[in-house]
Amino acid sequence: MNRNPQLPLTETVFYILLALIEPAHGYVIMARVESMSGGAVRLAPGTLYGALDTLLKQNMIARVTSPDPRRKVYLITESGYQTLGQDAERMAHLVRMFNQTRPDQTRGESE
Amino acid sequence: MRIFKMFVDFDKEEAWLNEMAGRGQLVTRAGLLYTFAPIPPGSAVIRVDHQPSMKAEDFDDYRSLFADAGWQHLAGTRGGGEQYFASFSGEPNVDIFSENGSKAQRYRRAIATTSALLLPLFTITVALWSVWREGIGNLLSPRDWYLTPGLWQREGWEFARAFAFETPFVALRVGGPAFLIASCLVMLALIAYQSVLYRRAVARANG
Repeated sequence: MNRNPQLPLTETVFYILLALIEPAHGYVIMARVESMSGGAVRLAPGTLYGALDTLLKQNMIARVTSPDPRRKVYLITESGYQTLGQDAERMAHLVRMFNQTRPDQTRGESE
Repeated sequence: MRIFKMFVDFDKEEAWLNEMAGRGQLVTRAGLLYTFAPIPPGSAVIRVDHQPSMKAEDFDDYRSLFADAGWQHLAGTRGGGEQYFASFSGEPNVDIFSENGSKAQRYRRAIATTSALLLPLFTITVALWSVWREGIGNLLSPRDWYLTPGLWQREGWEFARAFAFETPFVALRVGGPAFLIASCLVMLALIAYQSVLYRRAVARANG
């Protein structure tokens, strides 16, 4: 099986793509990521700006029309959404593997 | 207040600007000649980014993003180069980067800026090199720079007059190329130093 070379995504990139399933500008992305992560991931503007630039170049997100000319609005692309799904499956698999081999669970089954 | 200073290392520049802010001086213009305006001592945290030249709308978007996140743009132009931001939140450890990897990318962008300046300069220098070689002779031997026949055999006033007459032409013919070559060398050294800083920052980011 050929794996997507963009995988695995970093936690930051995963959250940004997830935030862009609906159109958003920079600050809305920051707010969505912070709330989705329960406050654990706080994006600083310099880091977000660089990440958006990279995702645009990788064609994972695209610019859409913005009501505010001073704030660009982005949306996930078809290929970005596919990559996101593939990474979610990759992580779901990891979680399944972890649950199968968890020591306390094995112990629980053997008793 | 105005201070003349030069930095390549963003961390050192930030440290100095924060030291100034701690003493109540907020940077309002930067890059070689730094201009400051008074603020309550210690009320601001300064951070530095580097960006390539941007279209007006891109620069607006860039500054809006930082403003929305609580960072006031202090200095820097859309023509590219360093961008200076201040946070007045009172939190001393705030940063414009939340990951060290993205913080290291500042240096990569700075290297790209310097390279973009060096490339045309280097091309011109190489293109003109063959022309200069004939006109200048040996760049390291000043006597070759003067083309007046028998100049160095003349004496007294006759020599002084001919020497003084030709010197402005020599300054143009030799000074121009020497300046271009020196500029190329300075920029090469700058790129080398920026590369060292970039690698150091990446190493720090990776643990």
